[in-house]
Amino acid sequence: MRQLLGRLFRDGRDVPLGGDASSRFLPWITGLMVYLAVVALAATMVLADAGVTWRRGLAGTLTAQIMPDAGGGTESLDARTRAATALLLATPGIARASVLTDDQLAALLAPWLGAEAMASELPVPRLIDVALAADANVDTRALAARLAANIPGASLDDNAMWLGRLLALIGAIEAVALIVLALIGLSGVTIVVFTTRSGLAIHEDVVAVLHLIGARDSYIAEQFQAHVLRLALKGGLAGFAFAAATVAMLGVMTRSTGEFLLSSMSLSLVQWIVLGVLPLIAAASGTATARLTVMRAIGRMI
Amino acid sequence: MANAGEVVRFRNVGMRYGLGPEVLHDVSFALKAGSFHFLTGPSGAGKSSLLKLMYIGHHPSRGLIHLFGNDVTTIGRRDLPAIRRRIGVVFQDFRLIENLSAVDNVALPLRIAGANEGRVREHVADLLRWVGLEEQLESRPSTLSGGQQQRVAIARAVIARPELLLADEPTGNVDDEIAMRLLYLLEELNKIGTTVVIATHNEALVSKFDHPRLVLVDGEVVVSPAAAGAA
Repeated sequence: MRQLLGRLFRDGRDVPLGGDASSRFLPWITGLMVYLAVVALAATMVLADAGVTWRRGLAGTLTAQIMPDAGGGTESLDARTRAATALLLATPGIARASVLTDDQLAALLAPWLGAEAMASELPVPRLIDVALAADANVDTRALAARLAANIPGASLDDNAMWLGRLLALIGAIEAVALIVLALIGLSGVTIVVFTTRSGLAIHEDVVAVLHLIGARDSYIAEQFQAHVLRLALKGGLAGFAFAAATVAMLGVMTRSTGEFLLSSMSLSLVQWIVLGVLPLIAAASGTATARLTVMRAIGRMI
Repeated sequence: MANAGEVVRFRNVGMRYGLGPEVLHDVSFALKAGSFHFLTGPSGAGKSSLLKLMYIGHHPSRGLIHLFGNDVTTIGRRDLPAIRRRIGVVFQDFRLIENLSAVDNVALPLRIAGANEGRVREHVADLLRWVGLEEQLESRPSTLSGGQQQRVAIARAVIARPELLLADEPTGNVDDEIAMRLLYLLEELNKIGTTVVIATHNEALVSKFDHPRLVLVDGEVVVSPAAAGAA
């Protein structure tokens, strides 16, 4: 094992690959690709988490809305809100119906209309947060019709439509992120193929001498593998470090400004470990690509 | 089919580069194990090309080549390294690896064969001292003179005690004293069983040794016995 690792990390000991212009940019390119891959995957993870949170938070809930009656004043709105609450609580399968307080409404509107929204002349509807009992089978369409018929200006939203659209959007973004990841991987493989072929062309004489001395193809391939592994690890780890800093910074920004949208952009330990594997995958795939490229190319030599 | 005791057998071998004319044609000869031959002939006669076929650096355009009893014209690529490790080659242009020191260049055949690293450096340093390069162990080829590079190339060719040693003008860049010393080294190797073929056009040097010749004339090989009265 020790011997294998020694041979794996023995960078171009016989074939002088270190000074090649073609491989000079490999760490930079690998770093950039790992950076993009980590950020794309982290974004996918955050969106997936947000989808789960939204779905979980809205499952089994309904929102009743009582529009303010322009002619009726506050009393009328309060009376209709009480009537709607009573109607909802009397419906089998509904466990709770609580009217949102002015403070709760203000918190909901603040990101869109500012902190003073409730104090202005804006007609703000009353919202009733409705929770269904576990395993309840409530006909929300019939309930909405009954609510509208009995309480003027009342409507019922089961959140399904906008949640469905939001989840579809998240799914599309995740798909795009995965395609981006695949393209990054493909580009990386292509770059390693060209870098390796270039190295083989530059050092054709040395490779020929090694062959004539009795080196097996695998011995020569190991030199290219070690070279690519070292450069890819160097670039990949740097790219991961920068990407981790970016993701962490976005997490801090989200917590301070955008928590209402993405409830938490912080990643779990497992997610960080998955992201941390990306530079290793980049290095391993680069190493394997280098080996296959060399074995295929020198297989045609005498 | 090669006969027992033969290290090399060529039968009706032709060789050409690309689509060019044949530089060797109908070459047939055999070298017994433990023999010592000078390969002579005028410049451009094809000495280097013949050696190239012998160290499997080029495919013949026709004919059969047997090395150590193996038909190398049909042998699989996978089996070539094992045969090449039994051959030591001194290239005319040395073909030393520039980024490696003298020690590491000479150590290559041992390392490729997977020899113990501790013993590799010990053996290599001893051999380089023997060829007079004790001061240049860690020198890169570009810092060595032509003669010093040639001695490194010879040391690399003999370090693994090959069964067949092929040398292309191995004394071309050294003075007479060093040339004689190097040829004595090759003779010592020959005495312990290595089959030696030395390509040279240095008639004065060849005449000092009592060894048969392979003479290349117009792309064909003629085997001539040892020169009478050689020293």
